[in-house]
Amino acid sequence: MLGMLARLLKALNSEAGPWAIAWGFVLGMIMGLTPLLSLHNLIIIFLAMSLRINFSGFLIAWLFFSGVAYLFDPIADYIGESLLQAQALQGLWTSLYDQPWARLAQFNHTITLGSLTFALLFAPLWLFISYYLVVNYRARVKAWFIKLKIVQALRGSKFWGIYERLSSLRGGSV
Amino acid sequence: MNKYIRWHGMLAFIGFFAALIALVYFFAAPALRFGLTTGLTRVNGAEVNIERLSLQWSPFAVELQNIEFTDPETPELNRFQAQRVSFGVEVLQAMIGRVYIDELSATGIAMGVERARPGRVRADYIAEREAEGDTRTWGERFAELGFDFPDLDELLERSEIRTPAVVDSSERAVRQSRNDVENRRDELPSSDVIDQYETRMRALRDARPRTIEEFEQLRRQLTELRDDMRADRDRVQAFTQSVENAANQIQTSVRELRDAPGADLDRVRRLIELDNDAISDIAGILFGPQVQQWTDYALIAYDFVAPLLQSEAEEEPSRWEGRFIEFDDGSAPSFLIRLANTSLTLGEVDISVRWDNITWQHERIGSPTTYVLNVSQTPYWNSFSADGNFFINEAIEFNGQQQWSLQGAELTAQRLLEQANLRVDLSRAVINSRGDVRISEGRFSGGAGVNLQDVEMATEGDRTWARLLGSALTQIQAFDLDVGLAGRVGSPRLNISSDLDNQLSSALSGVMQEYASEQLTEVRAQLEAQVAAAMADIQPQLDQVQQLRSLAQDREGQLQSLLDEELDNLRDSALDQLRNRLGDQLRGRLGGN
Repeated sequence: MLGMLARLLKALNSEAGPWAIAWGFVLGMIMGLTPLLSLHNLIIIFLAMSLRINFSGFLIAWLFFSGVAYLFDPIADYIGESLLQAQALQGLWTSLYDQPWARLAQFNHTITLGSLTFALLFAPLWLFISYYLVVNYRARVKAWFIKLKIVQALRGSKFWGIYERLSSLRGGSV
Repeated sequence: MNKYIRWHGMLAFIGFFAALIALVYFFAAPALRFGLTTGLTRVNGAEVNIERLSLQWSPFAVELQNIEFTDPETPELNRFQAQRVSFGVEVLQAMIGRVYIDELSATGIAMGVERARPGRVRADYIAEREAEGDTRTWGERFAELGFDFPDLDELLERSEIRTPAVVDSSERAVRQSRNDVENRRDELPSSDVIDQYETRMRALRDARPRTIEEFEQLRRQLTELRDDMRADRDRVQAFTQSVENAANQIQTSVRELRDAPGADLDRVRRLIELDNDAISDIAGILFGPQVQQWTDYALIAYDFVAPLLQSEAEEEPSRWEGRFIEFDDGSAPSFLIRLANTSLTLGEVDISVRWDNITWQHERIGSPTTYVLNVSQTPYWNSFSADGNFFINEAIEFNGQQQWSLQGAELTAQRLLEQANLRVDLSRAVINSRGDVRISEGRFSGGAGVNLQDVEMATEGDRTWARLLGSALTQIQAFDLDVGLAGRVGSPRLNISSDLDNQLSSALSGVMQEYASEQLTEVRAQLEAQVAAAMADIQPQLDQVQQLRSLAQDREGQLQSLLDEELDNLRDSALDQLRNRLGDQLRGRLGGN
């Protein structure tokens, strides 16, 4: 966990593209908010592993949104229930119900459909928010952050050792 | 491209899934075998074994070898076993919970075969069976009949023999009556007294009153005589009444005494006799387990369908964990075996069953599940045919029918009943049966008629009642069993009635009368000896009382005769004499006219 956080800090403080980090956050958010054992998460993992996004950002976002998901489930359930019960969509759902791949994707599960719909709708917004946060962190917060006493204290800790080691391995700098 | 694609990540992903697929490929068969074993064990209620499972990937097909379903009621036996079962499954449909099998083949099917070792019975099955609780086994019902024939001493103790008490009370009553009569005998006027009355009457009759005074004196003597005679007559009447009472009392006692041994023997016989209501269950008790087993085999298909129906109906939505919403347009069943051929070998007989459209969602396919039995030629019976169908609608209501006809089947020797003190075996019998079982809204109705001929039964048992029951059973040559079926699919109840009950009741009655006569000869002799001794004592007393009664009646007659006739005549005669004499005197004084 400490290693992962250190990797994320390194990415934030390195020259890695802010879009790569933002996309990592987006994919992690989708996987975190939706039930883990779902077919679409296979696609998310495939994308996360195959595309040059920041994988640490993806993992951190997944862990963060997995926690958030416990609070979010009632809302997801409500959204899924509303969609699945909507009269206008009954034809779509009925035809999907006979498709094995759709059933494997658990489209008819209220929380799966509700959370995935929300996550996909929220993804563009979250992409830009993530991008904005990364850019502004680098421009405004990074120098201030390093000078914080708590960060200074951390410099003598195990966490900092890991961070230093990663930096030296990848040739990055703070 | 390299700017966007992380090749090593993609390869890692593909490699991981390739390994996963390889794992599935190599371990699917054992995993499926484990899953099938576990699932079927849950449905069956007891251990299910599958020795080998082979998979064919394209088209996907499964072959099972040596499948054994433990009978949860008798874990030493398999309720069903098959040497080979093979079927093809549509994989994509199966992945979404729809099991479609085009053709299923099962060979080497057998039922009721002994297992190599007893199978384990699931705890929930045992708990469910214990919860049913009040379902009595045929053996328990036999125990409740209370078949028992006590020995002679026990019989006499239980039947409260009353003859000795009657002898005592009769002797006491007779003695008392006779004493009462004896004590009052002094009140009976002696013959001398009667003679005196006649003498006094003769004296009065001879008297010739000459004057009014003499007549008045004569009238007083007459009145005294009449009063004395009336007093004695009243005493004689009282004595006569007491003698009558004593005689009646003694005769009543004698009657009771004579009836006492018969009443006692009747009471003992009643203790020996069986309750007819109890005998009415004997056919069920003897043939119930066998018929139950036949019925279990006949309805085995329903045993497997019933739990599936329950699992269909048991889906509970759970809020906040989400729920799966069904968009089933009712056009496709979730389970369907389009054709199944099963073959069963019993001895030298091959029985094949063809099943069409096995499912529990018949409304979706628009036709019922049908099945037809085909049987090869066999020396064991003359003819056998069976077929049936069932239809389950969307409301999970089970409807169907099954009929069969079996003619001239020879039953081999088998044990009908085994208790601590009794074994009943059916040595041989020829069986004919026709049955028609219907299922409507999940409940059985109808049943079967079973006719058994050339029946030979044998019993073993040391107790008296076991020997008697054996004697009665050996008299049975032929009988009918009417087997009624009721209750829900999965838990049918049998109701067996038979003319065997009447036949057995009649035979047992004869056998027991014979037994009772043998056992009671000695008792009868003892009781009659007691009565005879008492009668020898009572009879002289009765004779004595009857003599006294005759004597009293004689005395009373004599007195009453004297009172009724002589006294009135005597008074009138004296009055006439006096009147004549006074008339003569008066005529003499007046001048001779």
